Amino acid sequence: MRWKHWWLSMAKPSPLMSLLGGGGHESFDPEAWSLLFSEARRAGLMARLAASLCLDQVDLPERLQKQVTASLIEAEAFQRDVLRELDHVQQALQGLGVPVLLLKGAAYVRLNLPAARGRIFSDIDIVVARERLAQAEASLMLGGWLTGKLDPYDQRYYREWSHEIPPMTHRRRGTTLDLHHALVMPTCRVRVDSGKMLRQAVPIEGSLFWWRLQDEDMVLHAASHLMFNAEFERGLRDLWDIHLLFCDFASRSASFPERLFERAREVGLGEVIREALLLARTFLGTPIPEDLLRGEAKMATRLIARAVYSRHRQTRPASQWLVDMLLLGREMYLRLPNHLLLRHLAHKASVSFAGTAPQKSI
Amino acid sequence: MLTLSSCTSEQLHRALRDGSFRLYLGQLALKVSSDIPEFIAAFRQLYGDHPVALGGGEYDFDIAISAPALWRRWFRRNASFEFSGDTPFLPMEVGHAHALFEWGLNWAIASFLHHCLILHSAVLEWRGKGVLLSAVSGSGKSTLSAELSEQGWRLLSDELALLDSDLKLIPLARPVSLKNTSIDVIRRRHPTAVIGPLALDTHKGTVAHLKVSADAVGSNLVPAIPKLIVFPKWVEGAPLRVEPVGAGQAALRLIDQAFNYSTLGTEGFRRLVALVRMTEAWQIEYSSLDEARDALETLVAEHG
Amino acid sequence: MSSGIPAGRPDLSRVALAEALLFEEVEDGALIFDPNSGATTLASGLGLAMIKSLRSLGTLDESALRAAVQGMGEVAENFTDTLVSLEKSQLIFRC
Repeated sequence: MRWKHWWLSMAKPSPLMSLLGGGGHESFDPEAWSLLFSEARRAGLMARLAASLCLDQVDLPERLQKQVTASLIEAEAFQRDVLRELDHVQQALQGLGVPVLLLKGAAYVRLNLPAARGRIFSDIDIVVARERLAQAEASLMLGGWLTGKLDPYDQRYYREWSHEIPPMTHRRRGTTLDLHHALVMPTCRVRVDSGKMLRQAVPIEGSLFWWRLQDEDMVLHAASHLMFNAEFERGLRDLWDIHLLFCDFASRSASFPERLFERAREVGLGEVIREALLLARTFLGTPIPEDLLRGEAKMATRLIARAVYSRHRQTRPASQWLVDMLLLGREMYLRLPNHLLLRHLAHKASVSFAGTAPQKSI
Repeated sequence: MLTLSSCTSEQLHRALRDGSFRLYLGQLALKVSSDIPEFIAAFRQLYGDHPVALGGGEYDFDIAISAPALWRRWFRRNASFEFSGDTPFLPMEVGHAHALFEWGLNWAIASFLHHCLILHSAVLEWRGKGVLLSAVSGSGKSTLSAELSEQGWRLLSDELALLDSDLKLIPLARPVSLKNTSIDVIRRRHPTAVIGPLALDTHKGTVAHLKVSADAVGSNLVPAIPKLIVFPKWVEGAPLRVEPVGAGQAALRLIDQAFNYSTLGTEGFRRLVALVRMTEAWQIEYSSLDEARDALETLVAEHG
Repeated sequence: MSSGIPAGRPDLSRVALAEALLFEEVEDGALIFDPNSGATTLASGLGLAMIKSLRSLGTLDESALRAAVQGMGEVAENFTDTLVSLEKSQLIFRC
């Protein structure tokens, strides 16, 4: 692909991106490995990299082997915590009487998919039928989850405009739960039939309570999440998810790739899946049948490619910051209709002027 | 091996700028980058005896102390602690940059070295026996550690006990953090001790750091075997009290002060049980540093 | 999730030890770790005697448990309180 070579030649060499792209690690000296690990940490991928290196039984310098061990311990602890948390959620919502759908990271963990390996995330996302949303919220509150303190603008944005409930945090455990009634498709410009995806959800095997999207829809959901995103701090991780999901499902069924594209067209995500898989193939070597993925990447995809590349100080592409700005603009355009776009921009401008403190002090 | 004090100022500044500087803290290799002169000066003073490298090499952690924004290099100068390029904390004024480095390093060690059980505890060694001093912040643990370190005890850490899978304590001797009155106490008692610049008005009050002995640094690759767990508490005017603590009780108290006990799961439990079985636990209440030291040396001799 | 809660109508007068507990005796009691919940408890005195009895004798009804701990030399004064406390920490459960 011409475009791949064009922009790749402008990117700085990155041991992480090279390893992910199948470039092997024989040429890495201990310092290159150290940089790779630092890149992985920056990308939120240390645990997943550790799992991957362990799986492939890669020989590492002793000091980095310790890092891998430590990361695997952390990843295992995280999975334990997620499964325990899911038990708590199940207990709280046991009497709801409708299916409860698990999405994203929590679903990968519950299903023990390859995408769950080393996957750290901050929220558990669940979907319930709209009619039961209020009851679910009430049951969760009884179980100790509280909606956080948001300013009135954000509360209204959540409840009225995007028809969502703000994230709930457990008052004792501090874990966060995102309760939805629909699949969040943060765009009003692309018509996506996410209802169809929900209607074809299936129960999780072995569970009397949890449901999941079917395989194709899981990949589509991850792809839409990546391509409609505002910021790409976790872009590489999201892309790696798509790669792992695709590879796993394709390994179980030869017809999966075709069914995936067919389903994508059915629900309105035909272009999205194509662009997402182009990126996955470029960076991770995802084995997608040639005939399904013809042609050049769109302009937006080329921008996303730069944003998804390593974001580490030493290895990020020179103009990544500019690309970030452009993509931010694109996301707002995608998400909000014009009359709301202006209002939203005005509010956000005033908020950033007042100063926010997203980091913690020691 | 090359130590920080044997580097020229130019060499050091260059290496800190171009990413080729390495600080060796026992088993850990740190890539350190900075262009903040106040930090570099304090760093030279406090880490003079530590082994370093100027030509790059492998590293565990990628740390930078730098200005968070371009304009912050000249106006209302601030410093950020960067870890692999992420900024986990709010920046601080440049005068506090060296304190920020120490706090950030504590955070990094406690957050990522899960091959060890990490307890909030000082670790020292006397006559070949490892001693944990486990106490909540404000109990005088740092002052006591500083005192012991100046009186011939080997310091392994003033904050973090790292217990590996072989049940050994991993040394990471580095500057001891002192707060408020304890700075003066140590200065008075040990006028020749090297204490770094004061960081005034931090969220913990006034903070300064005691440089540890070259011997302690020189032993940073020699683990210690834990023999004693002590729960020290400084109480103004209190007479010395020394009481034994049961192993089970000691375990529960250590869990309270552990960083990654739950992360280690079953292995954490097994390692903790092994620790309390191979040590004796005591609690001491004291107001006199001399009495406390005598008591500890006696405990090591008789029960370690 | 409580380990081992059986289906059907439980008779609830019998007491059993939670599954998969790790049990390590130390000089002042026993440290008990529940891998399911991640909780660590120090048991001593009557509580420890109850746990030891259940470990060696399996599921017991209350009177048998009472007899067992008395046989170990423990005074069963706070029997019910201790039982409730152990249940709350999910170390034992009724079945």
